[in-house]
Amino acid sequence: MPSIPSAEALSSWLSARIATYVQRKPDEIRADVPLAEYGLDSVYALTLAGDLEDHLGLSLDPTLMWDHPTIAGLTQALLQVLAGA
Amino acid sequence: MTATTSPAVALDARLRQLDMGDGPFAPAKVAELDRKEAFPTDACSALDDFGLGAHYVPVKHGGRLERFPDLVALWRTVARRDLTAAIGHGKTFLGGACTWVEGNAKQAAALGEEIQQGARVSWGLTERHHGSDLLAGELSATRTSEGWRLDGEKWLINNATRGHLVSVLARTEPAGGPRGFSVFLVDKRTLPPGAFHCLPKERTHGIRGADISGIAFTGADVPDSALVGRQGGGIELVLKALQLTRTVAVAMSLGAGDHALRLTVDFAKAHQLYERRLVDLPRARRPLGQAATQLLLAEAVTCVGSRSLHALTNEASLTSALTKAFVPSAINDMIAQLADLMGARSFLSDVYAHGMFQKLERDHRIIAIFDGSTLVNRNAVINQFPVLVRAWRQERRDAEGLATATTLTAPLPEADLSRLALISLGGCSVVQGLPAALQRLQALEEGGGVPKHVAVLARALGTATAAVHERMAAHPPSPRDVPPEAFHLAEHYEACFAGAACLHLWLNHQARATGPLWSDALWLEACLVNVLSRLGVETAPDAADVFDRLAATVVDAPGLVSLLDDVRTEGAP
Repeated sequence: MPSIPSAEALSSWLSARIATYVQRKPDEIRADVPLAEYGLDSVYALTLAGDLEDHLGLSLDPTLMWDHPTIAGLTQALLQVLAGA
Repeated sequence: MTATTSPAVALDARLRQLDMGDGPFAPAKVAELDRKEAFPTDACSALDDFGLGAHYVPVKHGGRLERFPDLVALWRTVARRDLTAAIGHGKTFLGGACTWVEGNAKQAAALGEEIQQGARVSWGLTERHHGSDLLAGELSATRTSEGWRLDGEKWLINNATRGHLVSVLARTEPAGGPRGFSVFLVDKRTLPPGAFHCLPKERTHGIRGADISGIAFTGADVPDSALVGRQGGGIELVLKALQLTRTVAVAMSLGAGDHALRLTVDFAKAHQLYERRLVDLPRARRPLGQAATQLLLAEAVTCVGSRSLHALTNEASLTSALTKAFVPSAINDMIAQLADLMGARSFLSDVYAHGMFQKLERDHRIIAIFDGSTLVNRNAVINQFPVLVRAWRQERRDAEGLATATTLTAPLPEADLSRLALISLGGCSVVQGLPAALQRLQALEEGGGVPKHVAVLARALGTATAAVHERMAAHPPSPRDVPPEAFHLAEHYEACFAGAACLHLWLNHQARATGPLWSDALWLEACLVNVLSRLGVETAPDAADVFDRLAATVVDAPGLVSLLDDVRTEGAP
C-alpha cells in the first residue's frame, strides 16, 4: 500500500516532471493552466503515467492526463486514486 | 491448426482457379484494370463469394475472425496476386475496427451481420488540410434533440464512394483536444440525398483502380445509436483500433514481397547471360539472398506482431507501431533490390509477366503511407522512449505472453480488446526478453546446438540493443518538435525488435523444425547479419556469404519462401 503524499508535494513533483519535459523552470508551470499550452503534446503527455507509476507505486490509466489536463486537476484525481488504492 | 484446415490454404486453392485464363486474378486481367484505373469488381466479388468478409468479424460478434495471424495469412494470399483487390476488399476490416474495440454488443452484432451480407465499410479519419494530425480534424458532430448532426469532409478515404457504411471521427467539442472527438458509424444508405456527397476518385501512382476518394456531409442527421464508444472518447478509440489495423495491414507487404521474389526467381531461372542462367551467377545470388532475408525478417516481425495482439495485448501500442514501421520499409527495400536484378523487366509493362513487377512496385508504395506512415509510427515509439528505457533497466517482461507470442504451436487466447492501452507501461517484452533468450542460446551453444558464429552474431545484437537503450536514455524529452536523431534511434530500436523476434522464434522451434532454412540456423544467421548491418555493427568480412547460401534454398524452393508451415504448403508459384 503506497503512502499518500500531500497535495503540495504531489503538485510540485508534477511541476518538476513537466518542466523537464517542456524544458522550462518548474516555477514557470502554473497549476491551473492546461499542459498543452506549455507545448506538451497530448500523446506525449501519456508517458507521464510511467513516471507516476514509479513515483507512486501504482498503475494508472494513462488517459487520466486527458481527463485532467492541468496540474491542479491531475493532483486531485491522483489523490482520489491513491485514497481508493 | 493444421495446414489443411487453415482458411488461407482454402482461399489459395480458390484463387489458383481464378488467377489463370480469363479469371479475375489472371495477370493479364489485373494489368488491364490497372491500365484503365478501374476497380477490380470481379476480383472483390470472388472474395465475397469465398466469404472473406466473415473473417473481418470477430467470432464473438458472429463472424469467423478468431486469430489475427489468420487474417494476415488471408490478406497475404490475396495481396500476392493483386494489391489493389486486397486493399479494396480489406478496407472493410479497418472500417469495422472501432466497433470491434468499443462498440456495444448490439452495434457489433448488427455490423457483423451487415459485413457478412456483403456490406462495405470505410474509415474516415483524415482531412484535406490535416493529414495524420487527427486532433486538427474539423468535421463536426453537434448534438440535436434526436441524435447528432454531421458537417464537414473527410478526404483520401479508401472506399468512401463504394462503401455502404463509414466510421467517421468527428469533433464533438468545438475546442477539440484529446477528449473533443467521437466516432460515429454512419450508414450512407439511410441518409437523405443532399445530406452527403462523395468526392471524386483521386488518381494515384499505385493501386490505380482503388476507390481513393472522400465524403462530405452537410447537416447529416444520425441517430444516437451511431455513436461508437464514449462521447469524447474518439481519439483514444481510434488510436486503439489503429493498433489492430496497423499490425494486420502489413500482410499486404508480405504478399507483395512473395510476388516480387517469385517473379524475380522465375525470371532469373529462365534468363540466359554469358551462356549461363542468370540465377547461377554470383552477381545474382547475393541480391536474391538479401531480398529473401528481408522477406523472412518481415515475416518474423509480422508473425510476432500479430500474435502479440492476443498474447501481449497491452503492449500493442508498441508492437503495432514497430511492425507497421518495419515491415513496409523492409519490403520496399527488398523490391528495390529485386528491381536491380530484373533490370529492364522491372520497368516494362508488357514484356514480362504482364508488367506485374512494375505494378506491385507502384502498388506497394502505399503500404508505408496509409493507416499511419512510417514516420507517424516511429513518432509513436519515440513517445514511449522513457517507458522503454525504464522497463529495459528493470528487466521487466511478460515471460508467459512472450512465449505464447513467439511459439507458433501455442494456442492463442482470444484477443481481449478491452486491454488495449495507449502506452505500454511494461515496455516491450520481445526486446526486454533478449538477455534471457541469449542465455538460452548460450546453453545450446555449449551443447553444440547452434553454430558458434551464429551465437556470436546474436551476442552482438544483445550488446547493440543495450547501447541503443543507453542512447534512448540520453535522448532529451521531445514533447513537440522531434529531432531527426530521434527517428534514427527509433529505426535502430525497430531493428533490435526484429532481431529479438527472430531469436525468440528460432529458439522456440529449432528443436523440431526441419528443412534447409532451419539447417545450421541458416535463416537466423541471415536475419541477424541484416539486423546488425541496420544497427551499424561491423561483422566478420565473410558474414555476407550467408546470403549466397540462403539464395541456394530460395532458388530450389518448390513454393514460397517462408518460416511458417501454413504459407509453405500453399504451393503456388
